[in-house]
Amino acid sequence: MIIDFKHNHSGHCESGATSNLIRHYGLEISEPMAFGIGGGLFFVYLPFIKAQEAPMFAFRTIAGKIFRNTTGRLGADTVMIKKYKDPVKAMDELDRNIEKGIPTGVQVGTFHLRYFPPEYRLHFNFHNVVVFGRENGVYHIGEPVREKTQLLLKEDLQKARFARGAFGPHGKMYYIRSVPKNPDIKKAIFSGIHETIKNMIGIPVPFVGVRGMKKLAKDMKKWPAKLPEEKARFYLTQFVRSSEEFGTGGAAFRYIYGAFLKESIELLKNDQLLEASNRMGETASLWRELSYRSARFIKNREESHDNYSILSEILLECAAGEERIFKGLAKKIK
Amino acid sequence: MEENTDPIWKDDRYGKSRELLYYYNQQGHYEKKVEFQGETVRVIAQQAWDVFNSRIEDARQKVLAGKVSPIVYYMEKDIADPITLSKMAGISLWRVKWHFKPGVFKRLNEKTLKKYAEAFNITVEQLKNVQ
Repeated sequence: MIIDFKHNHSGHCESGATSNLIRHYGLEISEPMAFGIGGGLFFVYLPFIKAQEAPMFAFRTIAGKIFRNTTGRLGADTVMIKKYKDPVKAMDELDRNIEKGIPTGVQVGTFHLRYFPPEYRLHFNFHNVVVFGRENGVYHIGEPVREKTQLLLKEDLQKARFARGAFGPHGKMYYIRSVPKNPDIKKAIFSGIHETIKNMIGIPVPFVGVRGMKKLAKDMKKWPAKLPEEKARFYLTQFVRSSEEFGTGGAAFRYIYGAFLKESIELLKNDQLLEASNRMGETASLWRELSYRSARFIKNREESHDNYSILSEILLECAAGEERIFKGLAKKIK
Repeated sequence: MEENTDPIWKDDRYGKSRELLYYYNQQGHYEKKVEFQGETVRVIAQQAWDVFNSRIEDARQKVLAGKVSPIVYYMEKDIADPITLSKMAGISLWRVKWHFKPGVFKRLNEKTLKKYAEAFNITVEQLKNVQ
């Protein structure tokens, strides 16, 4: 059985899966809308947690939050099964959903997704795809970050859903039962923005939000003095990789978020968010500049102390930009 | 359906898939573009893989020289770290690190070896013999 499911290519996996699932039930929610209403934007820098021997960087909230928040704020009736003990049962229930015509989101590890090139197949367990069909042991996958839908063997899908390693997905799956025809979109948008304001400027911990960006800028300046050359370069590489390479829509999700603000203006027909939307675009372009320059330094092997200072300055500017945006938003929408 | 679907079981397509990226243009509008990965990502990915590959080769040399156990080589090959490996194999972190010693590895029982082999998706024979 293959469900008549419209797959839309997306920049980011979870907001793409969420948007595609909601649209299947007749409500036009674009990817940036799903990302913004779900309060997806974030920044985390954990220098003491090492992933592949570099600090951990995250530019979004934890996996699962976007789907839960977006559908919740739009008043949709959803089901989320967080954990299965038995893989066979998990696959059976997925099959039953498909037979019933329900496209179903699953969290997977990318290591077992054969349709990705080897370079993508890391032990990364926060990926999301939509399963919308099954024929002769081959599953039809709405892979948000690919233009076309993909095929996957049952054994690989099962392995991906039960990928081991840090933060394994444990077969997590989610789907929508119904979506209201006319949800209170304004309330949903504002509620999403409030969450992001809180995340970006409201948590008094030096590692998250704007504070985290400032902390990273400060540390980055010291990398060339504190670390061996190779290691400093690798830290920078991993930072740019996580902001540009892994399905962020570009510039650490900042463009997607700006697009969400812009779309909200058009939808609500109110100009309160105009300034924030424009500033977000400018800040996103700064993030892009940061990645571009880092890549150039890395390529030409010219990461001198001066160059790390330049990068640190740009990052500080990004932090200042976002601080202004969210402080402005906090005043405007109450 | 058929032509709208990428062929299955074709692994090696790096750089042949287009990504969706968002932009903010000079007129103050956001736009979407579907395109191949740009220079920035290519440079960065190349750099990262150079590092990973040199770590793998380094581990291989150390295994051949008898300085570390083959587990280290397969861990690096999977781009995993000890914590990830510990979760993958279902063996506690300190034991995983203990098994990095070649002498300890030689005395491991079949059951533990099998756990590692399964985690790496290889046979026990392959686990014991690094080429």
